[in-house]
Amino acid sequence: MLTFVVYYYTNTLLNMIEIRNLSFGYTRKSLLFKDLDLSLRRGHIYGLLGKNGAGKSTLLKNMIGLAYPQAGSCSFNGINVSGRPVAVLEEVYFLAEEVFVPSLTPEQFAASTAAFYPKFSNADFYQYLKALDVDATAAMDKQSFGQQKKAMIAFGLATNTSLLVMDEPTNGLDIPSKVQFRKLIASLLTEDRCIIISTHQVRDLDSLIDTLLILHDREIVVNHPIEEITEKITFGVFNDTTGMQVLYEEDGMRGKNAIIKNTSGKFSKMDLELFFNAVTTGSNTLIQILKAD
Amino acid sequence: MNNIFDTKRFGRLFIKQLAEHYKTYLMALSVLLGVMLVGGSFFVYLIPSPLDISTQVILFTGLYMLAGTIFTSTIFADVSNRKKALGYLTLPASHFEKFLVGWLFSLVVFTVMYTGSFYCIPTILLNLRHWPHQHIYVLNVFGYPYSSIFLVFMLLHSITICGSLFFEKLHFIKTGFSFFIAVILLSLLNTSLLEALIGRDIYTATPFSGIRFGESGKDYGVSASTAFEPMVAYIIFAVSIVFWVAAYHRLKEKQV
Repeated sequence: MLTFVVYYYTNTLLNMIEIRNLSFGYTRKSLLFKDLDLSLRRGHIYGLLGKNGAGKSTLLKNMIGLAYPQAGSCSFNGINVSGRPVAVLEEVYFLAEEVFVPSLTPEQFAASTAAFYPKFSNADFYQYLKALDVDATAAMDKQSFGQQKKAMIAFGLATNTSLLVMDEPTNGLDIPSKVQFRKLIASLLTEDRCIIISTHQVRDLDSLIDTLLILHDREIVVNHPIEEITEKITFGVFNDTTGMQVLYEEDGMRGKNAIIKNTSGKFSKMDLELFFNAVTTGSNTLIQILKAD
Repeated sequence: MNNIFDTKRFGRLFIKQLAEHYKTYLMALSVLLGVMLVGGSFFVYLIPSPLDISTQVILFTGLYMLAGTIFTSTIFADVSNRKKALGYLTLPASHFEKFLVGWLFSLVVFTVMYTGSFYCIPTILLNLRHWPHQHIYVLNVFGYPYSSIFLVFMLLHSITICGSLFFEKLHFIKTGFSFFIAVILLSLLNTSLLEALIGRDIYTATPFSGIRFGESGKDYGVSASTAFEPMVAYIIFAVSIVFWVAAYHRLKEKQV
């Protein structure tokens, strides 16, 4: 009994997002998710990957109450997000792939909107605008898509919400801005905050995320810390893989890009793209190795 | 924390709505003033006598209903636009506060601005021209029986605001189409019910109107006594509330 109570409270304290038996579909006949379970903890940066149409954006929308599940539930800090209660919205910032900006300058936008977020910091906002090279006094709707997106990223980061959900945040950003974005995100993580980034551009997540989520065939097939993945498997480029315990391989420019079982205990740099391809092409052995304790 | 209504939060939302849309609202007001000015000039300078009360009622009501329903149909347009809806629905304010802001702008603020404009333009135009030996009458929309115009607008507003949230695009056209279809169906139903009730054929009667029938080559009309007018007003008010509540729930259920 005591073990159960300790387990329950530890999970409640650590888990920020709890998804239980989630079923969702845009039509009742074809479900995008069926009985999906997922727990996301504070203090982590999650990278959500999935093929086109896998339902990444839909999953994110379910998490923050923009889409309502047909069955099951999504809760944030123990509060059901369906119905979008203000207590949840004040602690969540969602950056959509395609942002909409009103006909205001970033500083006018902050003046009219910042007060809705109790932890918004004006100093942080101007600092982020400067870091991302956005003019605080220029009308946002007259700017390029990249500038608009950066202004909204700066605003989102300055809200200091406990949950930051970003759908393809680097789409439309130039190379220096992507670098700045990664630096800012890395500097923002605290033990009370949870950041979820969904993207197709896996290289933008390199060295940024600490936990990988892969959505495939209506379920979360991977939900593991990067460290745990590289502890179990090794990534490398080999001239010949004969005799190796190869879990997945692809022909590359310099040889065979392969994933092999980590028997040496040494860590290698994770190749997100290769790993994603391995998982989505159905490498069951790989999944089983990851799931094994 | 109050998840339904907070005065401070509501105030912020009201100001945000104004800050982000004031340019559009000012443009809409300019168009309204332009229509009144052009239309009013036509009536004042081409017609030899000052506008009588009946014409003023027709002009006030026609333009009020048309401009008001067009404006109301756009008030929740952001919710139907995927890009705009994401920001709008995730803004930390309750659905009730969001609905109330839209309701206030489209019903109260619009009515105040419209009525103010209507009194300004015709009063100025009527006084610019000299009308020898003729009295100038200006309609008092707040007096009996003209104040019922506001009640009718309230009903149309509630239907339009509902349409603006139920339909994804072409809100005004689709709401108008649905409204007229509903009026036709209700009138047919109402006529059949009344015929069954009084046991004779009557002319088509819209709900809450009197009945008319022909006998021995003459037409007769029967209407409820004025004592029943408050009841009709209560019914219109109640139906408006039903539509507002439906619209509010639709906003709560909106998904992107």
